[in-house]
Amino acid sequence: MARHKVQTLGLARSADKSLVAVHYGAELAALASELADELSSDVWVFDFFAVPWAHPVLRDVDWIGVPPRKACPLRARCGDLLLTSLPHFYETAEPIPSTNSRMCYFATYPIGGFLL
Amino acid sequence: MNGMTSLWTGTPHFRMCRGPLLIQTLGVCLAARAFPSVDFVTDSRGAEIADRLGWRFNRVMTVFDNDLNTDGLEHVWALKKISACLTQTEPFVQFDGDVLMFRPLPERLTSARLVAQSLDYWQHYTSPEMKEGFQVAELPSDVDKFNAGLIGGADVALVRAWALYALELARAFRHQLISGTVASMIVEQASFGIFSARVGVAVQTLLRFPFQKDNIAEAGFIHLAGAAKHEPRWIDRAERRLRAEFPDAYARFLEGSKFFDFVSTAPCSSYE
Repeated sequence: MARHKVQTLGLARSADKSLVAVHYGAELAALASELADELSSDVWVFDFFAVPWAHPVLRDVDWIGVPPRKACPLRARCGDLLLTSLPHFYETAEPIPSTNSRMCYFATYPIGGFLL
Repeated sequence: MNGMTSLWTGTPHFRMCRGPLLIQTLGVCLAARAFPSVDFVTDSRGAEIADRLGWRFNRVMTVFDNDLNTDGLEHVWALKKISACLTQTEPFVQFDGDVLMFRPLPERLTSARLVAQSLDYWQHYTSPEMKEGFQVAELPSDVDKFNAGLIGGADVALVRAWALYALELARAFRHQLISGTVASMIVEQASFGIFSARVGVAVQTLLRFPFQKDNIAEAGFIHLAGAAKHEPRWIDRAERRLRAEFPDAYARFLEGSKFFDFVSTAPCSSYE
Protein backbone atom coordinates (compact mmCIF):
# COMPACT_ATOMS: atom_id res chain seq x y z
CA MET A 1 0.00 0.00 0.00
CA ALA A 2 1.46 3.29 -1.03
CA ARG A 3 2.06 5.71 1.74
CA HIS A 4 2.51 9.41 1.51
CA LYS A 5 4.76 11.40 3.70
CA VAL A 6 3.35 14.32 5.56
CA GLN A 7 5.18 17.59 5.69
CA THR A 8 6.04 19.11 8.99
CA LEU A 9 3.06 21.39 8.95
CA GLY A 10 0.83 18.41 9.37
CA LEU A 11 -0.18 18.15 5.76
CA ALA A 12 -0.57 14.94 3.92
CA ARG A 13 -1.56 13.70 0.55
CA SER A 14 -4.02 10.91 0.67
CA ALA A 15 -4.20 8.14 -1.85
CA ASP A 16 -6.52 10.18 -4.02
CA LYS A 17 -4.12 13.15 -3.87
CA SER A 18 -6.40 15.23 -1.71
CA LEU A 19 -4.58 17.28 0.84
CA VAL A 20 -5.30 16.61 4.45
CA ALA A 21 -4.74 18.88 7.38
CA VAL A 22 -5.53 18.02 10.93
CA HIS A 23 -5.77 20.66 13.57
CA TYR A 24 -6.55 20.52 17.19
CA GLY A 25 -9.28 22.27 19.06
CA ALA A 26 -12.25 24.11 17.75
CA GLU A 27 -10.44 27.36 18.42
CA LEU A 28 -8.05 26.59 15.61
CA ALA A 29 -10.68 26.25 12.96
CA ALA A 30 -9.94 29.72 11.65
CA LEU A 31 -6.23 29.08 11.45
CA ALA A 32 -6.83 25.79 9.77
CA SER A 33 -8.87 27.61 7.19
CA GLU A 34 -5.86 29.84 6.57
CA LEU A 35 -4.00 26.73 5.68
CA ALA A 36 -6.76 25.69 3.35
CA ASP A 37 -6.82 29.08 1.65
CA GLU A 38 -3.12 29.06 1.20
CA LEU A 39 -2.58 25.61 -0.11
CA SER A 40 -5.48 24.30 -2.01
CA SER A 41 -9.20 24.23 -2.13
CA ASP A 42 -8.92 20.50 -1.63
CA VAL A 43 -7.54 20.70 1.85
CA TRP A 44 -9.40 18.64 4.37
CA VAL A 45 -9.50 20.18 7.78
CA PHE A 46 -10.42 18.19 10.84
CA ASP A 47 -10.84 19.24 14.39
CA PHE A 48 -8.40 17.42 16.62
CA PHE A 49 -11.20 16.31 18.85
CA ALA A 50 -13.28 15.02 16.00
CA VAL A 51 -10.83 13.39 13.63
CA PRO A 52 -12.70 10.78 11.65
CA TRP A 53 -10.03 8.15 11.86
CA ALA A 54 -11.93 5.71 9.72
CA HIS A 55 -12.37 8.20 6.92
CA PRO A 56 -10.93 6.85 3.67
CA VAL A 57 -8.84 9.94 3.16
CA LEU A 58 -6.88 9.20 6.32
CA ARG A 59 -6.28 5.54 5.76
CA ASP A 60 -3.20 5.55 3.60
CA VAL A 61 -1.41 8.40 5.19
CA ASP A 62 1.84 8.38 7.05
CA TRP A 63 1.95 11.29 9.40
CA ILE A 64 5.35 12.47 10.42
CA GLY A 65 6.39 15.14 12.78
CA VAL A 66 8.68 16.04 15.57
CA PRO A 67 10.07 13.32 17.82
CA PRO A 68 7.80 12.24 20.65
CA ARG A 69 8.36 13.32 24.16
CA LYS A 70 9.29 10.78 26.73
CA ALA A 71 5.76 10.48 28.00
CA CYS A 72 3.44 9.50 25.20
CA PRO A 73 0.59 7.39 26.53
CA LEU A 74 -1.01 6.75 23.19
CA ARG A 75 2.21 5.42 21.78
CA ALA A 76 2.06 2.45 24.06
CA ARG A 77 -1.64 2.08 23.69
CA CYS A 78 -1.59 2.09 19.92
CA GLY A 79 1.47 0.07 19.15
CA ASP A 80 3.10 1.44 16.07
CA LEU A 81 0.78 4.39 15.90
CA LEU A 82 2.92 7.29 16.91
CA LEU A 83 1.47 10.56 18.02
CA THR A 84 3.79 13.49 18.29
CA SER A 85 3.58 17.12 19.20
CA LEU A 86 1.29 18.56 21.81
CA PRO A 87 1.44 15.37 23.86
CA HIS A 88 -0.40 16.92 26.73
CA PHE A 89 -3.49 16.99 24.56
CA TYR A 90 -3.62 13.27 24.55
CA GLU A 91 -5.47 12.88 27.73
CA THR A 92 -8.29 15.00 26.41
CA ALA A 93 -8.39 13.30 23.06
CA GLU A 94 -10.61 10.37 22.40
CA PRO A 95 -8.88 6.99 22.15
CA ILE A 96 -7.80 6.41 18.62
CA PRO A 97 -9.09 3.27 16.99
CA SER A 98 -7.05 1.03 14.83
CA THR A 99 -5.82 2.78 11.75
CA ASN A 100 -3.47 2.08 8.92
CA SER A 101 -1.64 5.28 9.63
CA ARG A 102 1.59 4.49 11.38
CA MET A 103 2.51 7.98 12.43
CA CYS A 104 0.45 11.00 13.25
CA TYR A 105 1.35 14.60 13.68
CA PHE A 106 -0.88 17.36 14.85
CA ALA A 107 0.39 20.57 13.52
CA THR A 108 0.42 24.00 14.91
CA TYR A 109 -0.01 26.74 12.38
CA PRO A 110 1.65 29.93 13.59
CA ILE A 111 -0.58 32.88 14.28
CA GLY A 112 -0.59 35.14 11.24
CA GLY A 113 1.54 32.78 9.18
CA PHE A 114 -0.48 33.70 6.12
CA LEU A 115 0.84 37.28 6.38
CA LEU A 116 4.47 36.25 5.94
CA MET B 1 3.94 53.18 24.01
CA ASN B 2 7.49 51.95 23.50
CA GLY B 3 8.65 48.54 22.43
CA MET B 4 11.01 46.27 24.30
CA THR B 5 12.42 42.87 23.50
CA SER B 6 14.80 40.63 25.36
CA LEU B 7 17.19 37.76 24.86
CA TRP B 8 18.61 35.56 27.59
CA THR B 9 21.44 33.42 26.28
CA GLY B 10 22.06 31.88 29.71
CA THR B 11 19.09 29.55 29.57
CA PRO B 12 19.70 26.12 28.06
CA HIS B 13 16.68 26.74 25.87
CA PHE B 14 18.69 29.29 23.93
CA ARG B 15 20.49 27.80 20.97
CA MET B 16 22.51 29.61 18.36
CA CYS B 17 20.23 28.70 15.46
CA ARG B 18 20.33 30.72 12.27
CA GLY B 19 16.61 30.49 11.52
CA PRO B 20 15.21 31.92 14.75
CA LEU B 21 17.88 34.64 14.76
CA LEU B 22 17.01 35.60 11.20
CA ILE B 23 13.36 35.80 12.18
CA GLN B 24 14.32 37.90 15.18
CA THR B 25 16.30 40.19 12.87
CA LEU B 26 13.18 40.78 10.82
CA GLY B 27 11.20 41.29 14.02
CA VAL B 28 13.63 43.95 15.22
CA CYS B 29 13.44 45.80 11.90
CA LEU B 30 9.65 45.75 11.94
CA ALA B 31 9.53 46.86 15.57
CA ALA B 32 11.58 49.93 14.69
CA ARG B 33 8.73 50.94 12.39
CA ALA B 34 5.97 49.99 14.80
CA PHE B 35 7.23 51.70 17.97
CA PRO B 36 8.60 55.17 18.66
CA SER B 37 11.44 53.63 20.62
CA VAL B 38 12.67 50.07 21.17
CA ASP B 39 14.83 48.77 24.04
CA PHE B 40 16.81 45.56 24.03
CA VAL B 41 17.32 43.88 27.39
CA THR B 42 19.84 41.07 27.40
CA ASP B 43 23.17 39.76 28.68
CA SER B 44 26.65 40.42 27.34
CA ARG B 45 26.49 37.59 24.85
CA GLY B 46 23.09 38.73 23.65
CA ALA B 47 24.45 42.22 23.16
CA GLU B 48 27.29 40.80 21.11
CA ILE B 49 24.86 38.84 18.96
CA ALA B 50 22.78 41.95 18.41
CA ASP B 51 25.84 43.96 17.54
CA ARG B 52 27.22 41.38 15.13
CA LEU B 53 23.90 40.80 13.42
CA GLY B 54 23.25 44.52 13.12
CA TRP B 55 20.16 44.81 15.24
CA ARG B 56 19.35 48.48 15.87
CA PHE B 57 17.80 49.66 19.13
CA ASN B 58 17.37 52.91 20.98
CA ARG B 59 18.85 51.36 24.10
CA VAL B 60 20.67 48.15 24.89
CA MET B 61 20.74 47.03 28.51
CA THR B 62 22.85 44.07 29.62
CA VAL B 63 21.20 43.69 32.99
CA PHE B 64 20.75 39.93 32.58
CA ASP B 65 24.38 39.39 33.46
CA ASN B 66 23.69 39.79 37.16
CA ASP B 67 20.13 40.86 37.89
CA LEU B 68 18.78 37.66 39.44
CA ASN B 69 19.93 34.56 41.23
CA THR B 70 19.06 32.01 38.56
CA ASP B 71 20.59 29.01 40.29
CA GLY B 72 18.23 26.11 39.67
CA LEU B 73 16.01 28.27 37.51
CA GLU B 74 18.00 28.39 34.28
CA HIS B 75 15.45 26.19 32.53
CA VAL B 76 12.63 28.65 33.22
CA TRP B 77 13.29 30.57 30.04
CA ALA B 78 10.63 33.22 30.69
CA LEU B 79 12.38 34.27 33.88
CA LYS B 80 14.50 37.01 32.36
CA LYS B 81 11.78 38.06 30.01
CA ILE B 82 9.78 38.89 33.11
CA SER B 83 12.66 40.63 34.85
CA ALA B 84 13.21 42.71 31.71
CA CYS B 85 9.92 44.42 32.51
CA LEU B 86 11.55 45.88 35.62
CA THR B 87 13.88 47.97 33.45
CA GLN B 88 11.02 49.98 32.00
CA THR B 89 9.84 53.32 33.32
CA GLU B 90 7.54 54.40 30.49
CA PRO B 91 4.51 52.65 28.98
CA PHE B 92 5.80 49.71 27.02
CA VAL B 93 5.04 46.37 25.52
CA GLN B 94 7.54 43.55 25.33
CA PHE B 95 7.46 41.54 22.10
CA ASP B 96 8.94 38.08 21.73
CA GLY B 97 11.83 37.33 19.42
CA ASP B 98 9.51 35.35 17.17
CA VAL B 99 6.92 38.10 16.86
CA LEU B 100 6.63 40.14 13.68
CA MET B 101 4.63 43.36 13.89
CA PHE B 102 3.72 44.90 10.58
CA ARG B 103 1.60 47.64 12.12
CA PRO B 104 1.76 49.88 15.18
CA LEU B 105 -0.44 48.91 18.07
CA PRO B 106 -3.93 50.42 17.99
CA GLU B 107 -4.82 53.15 20.46
CA ARG B 108 -7.02 50.82 22.46
CA LEU B 109 -3.84 48.94 23.37
CA THR B 110 -1.44 51.82 23.83
CA SER B 111 -3.79 53.33 26.40
CA ALA B 112 -4.56 50.08 28.21
CA ARG B 113 -3.13 49.47 31.66
CA LEU B 114 -2.34 45.82 30.98
CA VAL B 115 -1.68 44.43 27.52
CA ALA B 116 -1.16 40.94 26.10
CA GLN B 117 -1.19 39.35 22.69
CA SER B 118 -4.28 37.23 23.24
CA LEU B 119 -5.82 34.66 25.45
CA ASP B 120 -3.98 31.35 25.30
CA TYR B 121 -5.38 27.93 24.50
CA TRP B 122 -6.74 26.31 27.63
CA GLN B 123 -5.66 22.95 26.19
CA HIS B 124 -2.04 23.96 26.67
CA TYR B 125 -2.58 23.82 30.41
CA THR B 126 -4.17 20.40 30.78
CA SER B 127 -1.25 17.99 30.86
CA PRO B 128 -0.36 16.04 34.01
CA GLU B 129 2.91 17.94 34.17
CA MET B 130 1.09 21.23 33.85
CA LYS B 131 -1.27 20.25 36.66
CA GLU B 132 1.73 19.37 38.77
CA GLY B 133 3.22 22.74 37.94
CA PHE B 134 0.15 24.56 39.18
CA GLN B 135 0.38 22.55 42.39
CA VAL B 136 4.04 23.42 42.82
CA ALA B 137 3.24 27.09 42.35
CA GLU B 138 0.17 26.75 44.56
CA LEU B 139 -1.94 28.46 41.94
CA PRO B 140 -5.45 27.79 40.67
CA SER B 141 -5.47 26.44 37.14
CA ASP B 142 -8.97 27.56 36.20
CA VAL B 143 -7.99 31.10 35.32
CA ASP B 144 -7.52 33.00 32.08
CA LYS B 145 -4.08 32.51 30.59
CA PHE B 146 -2.62 35.04 28.22
CA ASN B 147 -0.22 34.45 25.38
CA ALA B 148 2.72 36.69 26.15
CA GLY B 149 3.98 37.15 22.61
CA LEU B 150 3.12 40.70 23.60
CA ILE B 151 3.01 41.69 27.24
CA GLY B 152 3.16 45.02 29.03
CA GLY B 153 0.93 48.00 29.53
CA ALA B 154 0.54 51.72 29.95
CA ASP B 155 0.47 51.44 33.74
CA VAL B 156 4.16 50.75 34.26
CA ALA B 157 3.88 50.47 38.02
CA LEU B 158 1.20 47.83 37.63
CA VAL B 159 3.23 45.87 35.08
CA ARG B 160 6.25 46.02 37.36
CA ALA B 161 4.10 44.78 40.24
CA TRP B 162 3.07 41.82 38.12
CA ALA B 163 6.68 41.15 37.19
CA LEU B 164 7.72 41.06 40.84
CA TYR B 165 4.81 38.77 41.63
CA ALA B 166 5.74 36.46 38.75
CA LEU B 167 9.40 36.35 39.76
CA GLU B 168 8.36 35.41 43.27
CA LEU B 169 6.24 32.59 41.85
CA ALA B 170 9.16 31.38 39.78
CA ARG B 171 11.12 30.56 42.90
CA ALA B 172 8.79 27.62 43.49
CA PHE B 173 10.30 25.93 40.43
CA ARG B 174 13.87 26.12 41.64
CA HIS B 175 15.53 22.72 41.11
CA GLN B 176 12.17 21.17 40.25
CA LEU B 177 12.01 18.51 37.54
CA ILE B 178 9.10 20.22 35.85
CA SER B 179 10.05 21.36 32.36
CA GLY B 180 11.15 24.92 31.83
CA THR B 181 8.42 25.48 29.30
CA VAL B 182 5.67 24.35 31.65
CA ALA B 183 7.13 26.47 34.42
CA SER B 184 7.48 29.45 32.10
CA MET B 185 3.91 29.20 30.89
CA ILE B 186 2.65 29.17 34.45
CA VAL B 187 4.98 31.83 35.78
CA GLU B 188 4.41 34.20 32.90
CA GLN B 189 1.15 33.50 31.11
CA ALA B 190 -1.04 32.07 33.85
CA SER B 191 0.26 34.51 36.42
CA PHE B 192 -0.70 37.45 34.21
CA GLY B 193 -4.31 36.29 34.25
CA ILE B 194 -4.27 35.66 37.98
CA PHE B 195 -2.70 39.03 38.66
CA SER B 196 -5.17 40.80 36.40
CA ALA B 197 -8.10 39.23 38.22
CA ARG B 198 -6.66 40.04 41.63
CA VAL B 199 -6.08 43.70 40.91
CA GLY B 200 -9.32 44.02 38.98
CA VAL B 201 -7.73 45.37 35.83
CA ALA B 202 -8.77 43.79 32.56
CA VAL B 203 -6.09 42.76 30.09
CA GLN B 204 -6.49 44.34 26.68
CA THR B 205 -5.46 41.95 23.93
CA LEU B 206 -4.31 42.68 20.41
CA LEU B 207 -6.03 39.63 18.98
CA ARG B 208 -9.51 38.33 19.56
CA PHE B 209 -9.89 34.79 20.73
CA PRO B 210 -10.74 32.40 19.14
CA PHE B 211 -8.47 33.70 16.42
CA GLN B 212 -10.00 35.09 13.28
CA LYS B 213 -8.15 35.64 10.09
CA ASP B 214 -9.49 39.14 9.42
CA ASN B 215 -8.62 40.24 12.94
CA ILE B 216 -5.06 38.91 12.61
CA ALA B 217 -4.69 40.62 9.23
CA GLU B 218 -5.99 43.91 10.62
CA ALA B 219 -3.47 43.71 13.44
CA GLY B 220 -0.66 42.85 11.03
CA PHE B 221 0.69 40.43 13.57
CA ILE B 222 2.64 37.19 13.30
CA HIS B 223 3.81 34.96 16.12
CA LEU B 224 6.04 32.12 14.93
CA ALA B 225 5.76 30.43 18.28
CA GLY B 226 7.22 27.09 19.25
CA ALA B 227 8.68 24.95 16.50
CA ALA B 228 7.52 27.26 13.69
CA LYS B 229 10.62 29.41 13.93
CA HIS B 230 12.74 26.34 13.25
CA GLU B 231 10.82 25.28 10.17
CA PRO B 232 12.36 26.06 6.77
CA ARG B 233 8.96 27.06 5.47
CA TRP B 234 8.76 30.09 7.76
CA ILE B 235 12.46 30.83 7.84
CA ASP B 236 12.55 31.04 4.05
CA ARG B 237 9.62 33.42 3.97
CA ALA B 238 11.17 35.60 6.65
CA GLU B 239 14.44 35.68 4.77
CA ARG B 240 12.73 36.77 1.55
CA ARG B 241 10.87 39.46 3.46
CA LEU B 242 14.00 40.71 5.21
CA ARG B 243 15.94 40.80 1.94
CA ALA B 244 13.16 42.67 0.14
CA GLU B 245 12.08 45.16 2.79
CA PHE B 246 15.27 45.71 4.77
CA PRO B 247 18.16 45.05 2.40
CA ASP B 248 20.69 46.86 4.59
CA ALA B 249 19.68 44.88 7.64
CA TYR B 250 19.82 41.69 5.61
CA ALA B 251 23.34 42.51 4.48
CA ARG B 252 24.35 43.17 8.08
CA PHE B 253 22.82 39.87 9.11
CA LEU B 254 24.72 37.96 6.45
CA GLU B 255 27.97 39.68 7.32
CA GLY B 256 27.51 39.18 11.05
CA SER B 257 26.54 35.55 10.60
CA LYS B 258 30.11 34.80 9.55
CA PHE B 259 31.19 35.28 13.14
CA PHE B 260 28.97 32.52 14.49
CA ASP B 261 28.86 28.77 14.26
CA PHE B 262 25.18 28.16 14.04
CA VAL B 263 23.78 24.92 15.32
CA SER B 264 21.23 22.83 13.54
CA THR B 265 17.67 24.03 13.38
CA ALA B 266 16.37 20.50 13.71
CA PRO B 267 12.75 20.39 14.77
CA CYS B 268 12.27 20.66 18.46
CA SER B 269 9.34 20.36 20.77
CA SER B 270 6.45 22.61 19.97
CA TYR B 271 6.90 24.67 23.05
CA GLU B 272 10.63 25.10 23.13
